[in-house]
Amino acid sequence: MDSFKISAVAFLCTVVAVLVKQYRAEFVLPVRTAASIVLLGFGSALMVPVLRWIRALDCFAAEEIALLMRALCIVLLVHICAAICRDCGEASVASCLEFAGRAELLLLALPLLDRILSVVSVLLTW
Amino acid sequence: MVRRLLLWCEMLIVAAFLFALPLSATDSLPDFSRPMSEFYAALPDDIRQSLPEGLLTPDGPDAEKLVQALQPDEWLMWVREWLYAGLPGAGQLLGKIVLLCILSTLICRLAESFGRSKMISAVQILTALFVALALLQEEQHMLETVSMCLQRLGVTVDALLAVLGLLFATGGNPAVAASGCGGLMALFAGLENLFAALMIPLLAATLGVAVPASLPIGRRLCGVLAAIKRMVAFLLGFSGVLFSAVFGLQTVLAAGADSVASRTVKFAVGNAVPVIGGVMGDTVRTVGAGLEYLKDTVGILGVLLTLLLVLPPILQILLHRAVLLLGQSVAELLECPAEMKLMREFSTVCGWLLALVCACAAAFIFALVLFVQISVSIALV
Repeated sequence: MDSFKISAVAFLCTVVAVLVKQYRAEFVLPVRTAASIVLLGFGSALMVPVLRWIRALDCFAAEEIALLMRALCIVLLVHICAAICRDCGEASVASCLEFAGRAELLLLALPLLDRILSVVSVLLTW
Repeated sequence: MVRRLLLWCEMLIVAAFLFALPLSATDSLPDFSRPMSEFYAALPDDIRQSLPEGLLTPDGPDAEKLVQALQPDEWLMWVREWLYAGLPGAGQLLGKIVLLCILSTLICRLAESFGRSKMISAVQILTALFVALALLQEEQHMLETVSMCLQRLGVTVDALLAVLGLLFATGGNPAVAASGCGGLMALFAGLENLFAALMIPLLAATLGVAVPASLPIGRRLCGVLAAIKRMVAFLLGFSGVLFSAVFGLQTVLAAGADSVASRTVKFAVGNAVPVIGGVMGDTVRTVGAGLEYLKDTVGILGVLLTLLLVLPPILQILLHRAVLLLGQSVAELLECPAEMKLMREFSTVCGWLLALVCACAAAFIFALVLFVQISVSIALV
């Protein structure tokens, strides 16, 4: 029944944000950020058993799982930060953040691309 | 008139071959232990070990053991052993594919909860690259296996044809030995060169192009991939035509040469060769029957060896193809389009590899059966 707790926290955070907005609008951003972090923490705690299950399968693809977990972290972090930036009206910052995230993903994929290219080059020079 | 003249010319040529052979009135077979040992030495070690003990004797293959080796029970046992050897690797590859597809879907769905963005396609490309790497390494191994199988088949076929040619030449069929062995060697050299020099590199290129063409960023390479696939399909069809043409020509040549040779031997035994003409009689028939028996056992051994050489790669390819088909279904179920397309292309290449091996094996088995069907001339006397 974690969804009840999470929904209650989300509802509470929304009410607080609306109330704060009426009296002190400049405090809305910290409230929103704090609510996002708390909800993300709840979500991450729920994901732990799933991640543990995936880790248990690393006999098939240990290297791939480690890299994809890093990719998952990058994607989630960049997404959340970009969404907060957009909420604050900073769309250009959000776009730059997403670009940086994609660049990091590309950086993660570089060793993999290198290996694929070496196999393909062997195949093409058969 | 011209036909009779041609027939006489053929008979003269065959007679010249016959006079060159060391013929003598004997009721025992010539010594074939040396060519046999040379043939056995040409066999790959693993194939020699998988044959029943005592099958390869210096005087030729043991018929009883040969029949035993061709029993369905023996074959089922071999197939089961090969499958058991290949199953762990195939299971691991399938596990990896399924796991990567699940992870791809999981990450994409989680990321989608914050709205769609280009980050998701980057993750999809990343997981597709992982699947591509795992499959490419396996496909490279498949290509190496098929290439080696064709090479080994070529070496075994050449060694076997040399023995069969010698048997025909000794049996009084030098024309069959020349035309049959020449035709088969030409057929195999042609097929082997076509496959090794054109088909395998083209299949390797298909694999290389299929990886970027399956990704969302490389859709424009689909045209190149389609062109290479058309080329491969054309070459496969062409090899089929080449096989039929050489096979048909070889059949006509062998049948004609067989008929001419038998008439020449009858003529030589009856009239032209004074030494053997009156003496050979029944002993020639005995030698002929012995040669016929030896030829048949060598022919059956050839079929057995071909099956032993081609069955492991065929089973390996079939297993890999089954993994690809299962993986494709899983990718479709989990909505991973890049992985699905990649596996579809690789599965097509697997099908072509299978066609290559089967074409080579079928060509040799059909030709060998036809070759063995032709009797040695002495047996016809």
